[in-house]
Amino acid sequence: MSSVAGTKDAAIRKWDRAATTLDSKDRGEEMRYGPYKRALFAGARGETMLVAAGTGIDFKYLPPDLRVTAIDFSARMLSFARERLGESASPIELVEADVTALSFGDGSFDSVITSCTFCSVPDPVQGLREVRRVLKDEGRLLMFEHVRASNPWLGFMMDVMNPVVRRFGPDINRRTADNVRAAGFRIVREFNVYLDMVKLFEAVKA
Amino acid sequence: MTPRPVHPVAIRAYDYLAALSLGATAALGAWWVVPDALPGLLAMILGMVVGTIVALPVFVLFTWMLGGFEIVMMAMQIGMLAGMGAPMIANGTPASVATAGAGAGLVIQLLLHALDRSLHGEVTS
Repeated sequence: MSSVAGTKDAAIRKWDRAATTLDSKDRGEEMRYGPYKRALFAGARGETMLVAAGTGIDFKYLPPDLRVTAIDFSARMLSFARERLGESASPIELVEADVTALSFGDGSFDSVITSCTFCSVPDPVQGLREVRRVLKDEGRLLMFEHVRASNPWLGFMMDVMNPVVRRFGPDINRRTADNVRAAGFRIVREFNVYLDMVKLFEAVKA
Repeated sequence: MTPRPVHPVAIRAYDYLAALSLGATAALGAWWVVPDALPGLLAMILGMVVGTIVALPVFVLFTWMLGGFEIVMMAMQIGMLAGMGAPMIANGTPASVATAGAGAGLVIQLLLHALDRSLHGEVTS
C-alpha cells in the first residue's frame, strides 16, 4: 500500500506550515526515541544522505566521520535546519530536493538515513526506489519510522484516524516494510521500539 | 547495536497520568453531554464521539509533553471507551464518573503497556 498524502506541492505547503511548531511537538518524542536514533545512525558510513532533514532535530544524533547531504523538499524546514548545523559531529550540506526525483547520480551514497520520513512522502515507493538508485550496491538504508500497527484493532483505529491526522501531519497507517520491499530492498534488521508501530529498519539492496 | 532500555520510569509514570486524565475527561464530558433519556445504544455511540472530542485538549497537552505516538494510541482507545461507558452510569456523581473514566484509562494503558512489552525488540521472522 502506498497511501498518497496529496500532490507534491500540497505536501510542501503542509510541511512549510508545520515547520514553525514541529520541534515543540517533537520534544516528547525526542526524549523517548533519541537513544534509538543515535544507535541506529551509528551504523552509517562515509557519504551519507539524510532524507527529510526537517528542522535538523536529528543532526545531533549523527556520528562523526560522515559526509552528510541532508535533503528536504521544504525550503522553510531547511531554513530552520541551517541553524542546527553546528549540532552535528559530521559536516552537513543542505540541499532542497524531493526524494522521489533526486538529482544525485547512481550509487552516490554509502548510507541513507531516514527519520519519520516515509510517513510523509506522497509516493513512498517511488521515493524508496530513488533511494535505492543513489545508494551504492553495498550501501545500507537505516530507517526510524512509524508504521501501521499489525494488531487488527489498533490498525483499524489508525485507518479511521488517518484522514484527520494527515491534514496536519503525516499518514499514520503506512505499511512501510512492504514499501521498502516493493522498492527493491531486503530488510536485514527490524526492531520494534513502541508496539510494532515505531520501528527501526536496516535494509540493503535485494 | 543495542539500544538503551525502553523508557525511563518517569516517562512511563507520566503515560499513566495521561491515561487517568484522558479517561476522567472523556467520561465526564460524555456523562454531561449525553441526555439520560437517550436509548442505550444511541447513548453509547454519542458518548463515544463526545468522549473522543472532549479528550482532545488533554491529548494535545500530553502529546506536547510526552510525544505523539504513545499518547495517540491510548487517547483513541480511552476517549472512545470511557465516553461510551459513561452515559450508562445513571445515578453517578461527577466524582464517581471521573473515577470510573480514570479506571478505564488505567486498564487500557495497562493493556497497551503489556502489548508493548510483548512486542518490543528485535523482530525475528
